Amino acid sequence: MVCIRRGIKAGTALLHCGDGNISPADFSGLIEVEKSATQTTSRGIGNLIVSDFHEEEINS
Amino acid sequence: MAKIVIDGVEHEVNPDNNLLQECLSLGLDLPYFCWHPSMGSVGACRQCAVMQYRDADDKEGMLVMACMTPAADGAIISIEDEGAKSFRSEVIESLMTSHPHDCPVCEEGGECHLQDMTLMSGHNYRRYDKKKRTHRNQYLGPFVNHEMNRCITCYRCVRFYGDYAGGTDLSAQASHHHVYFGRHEEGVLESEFSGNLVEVCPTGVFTDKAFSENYSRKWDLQTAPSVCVGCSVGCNTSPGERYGSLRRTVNRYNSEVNGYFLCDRGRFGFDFVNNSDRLLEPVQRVDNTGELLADDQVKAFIKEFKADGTIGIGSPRASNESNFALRAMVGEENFYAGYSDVEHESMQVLLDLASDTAFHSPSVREIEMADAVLILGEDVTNVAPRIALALRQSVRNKAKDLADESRIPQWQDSAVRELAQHDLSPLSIISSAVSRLDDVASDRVIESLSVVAAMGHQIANKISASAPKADCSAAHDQVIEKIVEQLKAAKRPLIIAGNSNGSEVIRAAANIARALYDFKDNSAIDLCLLVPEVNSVGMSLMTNAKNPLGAALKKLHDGTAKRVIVLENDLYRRASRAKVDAALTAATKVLVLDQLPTSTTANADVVLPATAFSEHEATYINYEGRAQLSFQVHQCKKQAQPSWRWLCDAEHVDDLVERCCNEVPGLARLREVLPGENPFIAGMKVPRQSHRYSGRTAMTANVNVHEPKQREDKESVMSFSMEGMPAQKDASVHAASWAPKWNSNQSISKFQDEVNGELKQGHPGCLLIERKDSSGSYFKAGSDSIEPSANQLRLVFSYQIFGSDELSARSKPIQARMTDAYIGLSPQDAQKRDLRQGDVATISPLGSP
Amino acid sequence: MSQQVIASTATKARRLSADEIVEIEHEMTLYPDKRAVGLEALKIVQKHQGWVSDESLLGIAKYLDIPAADLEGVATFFNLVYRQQVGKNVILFCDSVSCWIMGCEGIKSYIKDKLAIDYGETTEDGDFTLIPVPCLGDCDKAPVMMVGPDMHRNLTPEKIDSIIMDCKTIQD
Repeated sequence: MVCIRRGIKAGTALLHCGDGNISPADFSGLIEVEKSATQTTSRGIGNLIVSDFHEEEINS
Repeated sequence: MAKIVIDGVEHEVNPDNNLLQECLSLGLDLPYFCWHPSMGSVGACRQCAVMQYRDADDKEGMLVMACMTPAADGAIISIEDEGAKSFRSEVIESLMTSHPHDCPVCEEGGECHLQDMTLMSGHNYRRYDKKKRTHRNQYLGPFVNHEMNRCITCYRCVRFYGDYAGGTDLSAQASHHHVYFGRHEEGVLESEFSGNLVEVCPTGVFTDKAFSENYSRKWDLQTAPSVCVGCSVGCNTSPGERYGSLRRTVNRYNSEVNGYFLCDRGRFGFDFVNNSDRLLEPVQRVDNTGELLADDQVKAFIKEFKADGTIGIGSPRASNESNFALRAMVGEENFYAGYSDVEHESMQVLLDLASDTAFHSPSVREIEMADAVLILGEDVTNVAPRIALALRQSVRNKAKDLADESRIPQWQDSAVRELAQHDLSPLSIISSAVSRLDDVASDRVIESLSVVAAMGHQIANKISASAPKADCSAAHDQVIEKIVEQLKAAKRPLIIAGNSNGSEVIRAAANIARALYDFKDNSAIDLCLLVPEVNSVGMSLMTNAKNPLGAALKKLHDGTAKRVIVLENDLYRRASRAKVDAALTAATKVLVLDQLPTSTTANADVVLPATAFSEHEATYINYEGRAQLSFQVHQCKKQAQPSWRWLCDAEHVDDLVERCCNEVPGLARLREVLPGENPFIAGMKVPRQSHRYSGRTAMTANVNVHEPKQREDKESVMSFSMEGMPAQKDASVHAASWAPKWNSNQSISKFQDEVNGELKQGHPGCLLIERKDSSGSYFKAGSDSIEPSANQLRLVFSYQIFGSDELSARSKPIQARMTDAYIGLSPQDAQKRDLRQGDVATISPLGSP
Repeated sequence: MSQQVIASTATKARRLSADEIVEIEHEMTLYPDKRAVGLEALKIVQKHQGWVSDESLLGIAKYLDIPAADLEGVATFFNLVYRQQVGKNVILFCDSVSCWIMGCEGIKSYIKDKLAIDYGETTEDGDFTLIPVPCLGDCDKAPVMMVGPDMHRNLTPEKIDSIIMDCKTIQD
């Protein structure tokens, strides 16, 4: 799931592994991010504490 | 000290406090609602009225609110005066006019401050016979229920939620008879401390939703003093059990650690204990199916592991005793770290710093005292939430200074806030993304991880020229200069970092603290280094620096080691899938002990069920090196045992603690957390059940009408019984706070030396790590120079209070607040990749640093 | 269970009009703190919209960058910030002591019958809302009431007729 926030430094990707199959140990240092064809999600990111990033979502 | 006279008796009191607080410290009963020991006075409820006299000749006196009146030397007051008593009973009568009197169906009933105070104030007959005002309740999310009709408008909820915890979505609305406490509209309470409303509210407006769904009265819960296993802060808790399931967690006061408050992970994360997936029997995997093991089979199996060629992998979420038992079984040289190699490396740096005399590792209470804070690269709210709450109090130290200058007592909460307005002590945050503390930050720099570290080194260099210089662009010179000045000017500066993202940031943070140490003529500087798990520190003290997890996996893979015991750990969260797969496939036998099934248990030959935190007695060591004892609350059904019991012959936790003291250098003082030499009063143990515990002999009558024998607890100073001596003296076994006339959690004042003081003869834990005689030297500046090129991105791990902790993520209420895995991107980076909010993305690694 | 979660921005903020913004901006020059402008902003929006809808409230909160919950606290504290839609003319009818002595009860039932509304209600055509107030500070000319910005004194049924007639005429 992609979560876009103004308050993230360009060039940095924040990774939250959730309780799915992503292991933090599989990644470190540098990564690439691409759009995925699949659209399967269970929880979504609606539960992110809304003011977590003290700004509104950028939906457009 | 000042001398005051209360009802003709002279008392010594602290003149810096108000009369209410001092009366409670003296153990006197004076009713109150709006005052809270950690939130000060606002004088909203008028319940604590007492009669004050000008001098000995004054027979008339005048009514004053005890919470708004200083305990000044020579004050003469009366609590028992008829005028004061009748005023208090009229106040409570008016507060109660619209209260629904629904105690029998209210979750607060039996531990309700309003019940206690109503009785204490002498209002026992209702004269008001008109219509009561009623309110509509709101849906407030999965944690907290809302029942506004019970409200007596003490304003404690909004004072905690907004003023104390910085929440913005709960407010007082409307006026006079219609005052309403709620959100602007229905929805989840956003604050990660919302669960405290349950304890802060003196009545049943805010109640524990998860508990309501599986409810039991306070006096029917079996409780014991416990320690939260959700993160490395080690907040003290009182979990309550009934009918074999854990029902709720409430705060347990510890003056040094959590005080009166818990975070929502700690309060609602216990439910994994009740998870229906719990491992409850020893199972051997035979051709992909599980086969139950009998006792002798397990013994034979363990014996097989006691041969050469066996290695053990410890766990930062398991107790000292279980880690030690494994280490003793396989030998120190064969005991490996149970966290990732990156974490292992940073943990070594951290342990080194822990014994350096230049630093002091501050407790949560001490963090609240900081008058200038710098957070370097860590998301405190999500890694160690309770510390974020303490930092919110630290920024108010400026307000307290201003109050002192204006001679306003610090407990005059609303006056002090009014005086200071937005004037806060400095708190600067330098990290790669915004955080939940930004609203109280004086400066906020968002930079890549390497720049964060470089800026740290630069700050150190500017404070003391002996600290190494760093390559740092001039872009941030101004803010660096400002932070340097703030830290230098502070009486008690605090530097916070953590090991969420490697060790370079920790090195930078240590250099800043060391520079301050030089600058401040060698007085130790508060350096708070956060780690993610409850016993990260304990396990690392037992692990040889040369034994990272990677080495264990390699040994298994190349056949140097044949058998492996994995203690309460999912290795797939710690090392790459390929490496773990290779190691577990190569091993001839894999034994895993755990509470819940994981990818690791799925690949084990034998899985032994381990008890959860509430089912065994254990010690843990928190981020500051504080050892704490957590008692067993209830018995585990079926065959789960503490991991150490599967692995060694020790009979008591005490035996293992004793061996830890003797055999692990860093743990030499661990025995100090055990209950005193003679915890028994008149040969009686401390009961886990209250004296009102009901239905004990009938609880299992649906199964068997014979009264079961009460299980004896031979190991602990506590008993699974209501008989015995409730803890009055030794507060290390102080689980459920109760005193005559005080059924609610407010009874805690009866156990403290003074309000907000230590528990009487209390045990705030024991700081294990001893400082050396001399201080170390500066780290060389910066080597984290991984700069992304073209399409690459620098990865930063983002912790989430709800979801990042492995065990609490399997608790139902927490699951209701969890998100999917996500990747956070800046708008520029997202646009480059044609990604929009909520899109699904694939991430691929590009090698390690 | 997770499906139950309601995002906290369920109601969408209304974009404030240019006129509203100009007036709010002016108020902002008069106060040191944005939060303090909240009440003035509510009054400005009510002046333009007749009342303060949820969408308007969020719009103000967003524009001032203050928590919606706090602004709601201010809005609901004051009876005369209307959080429900009101009629084109709001009748603030005094039923305090002096007016009561001077027979306001009779006047009130006259209004009630004429407009077919009670306290807190709005006429079906949306022209009038009747709200009681404790005192309008004009006791020597009791009974009194206010309609919009205008004060009406020494009320009689005849005067009520003409006030209501006037309101309707002005409207048309």
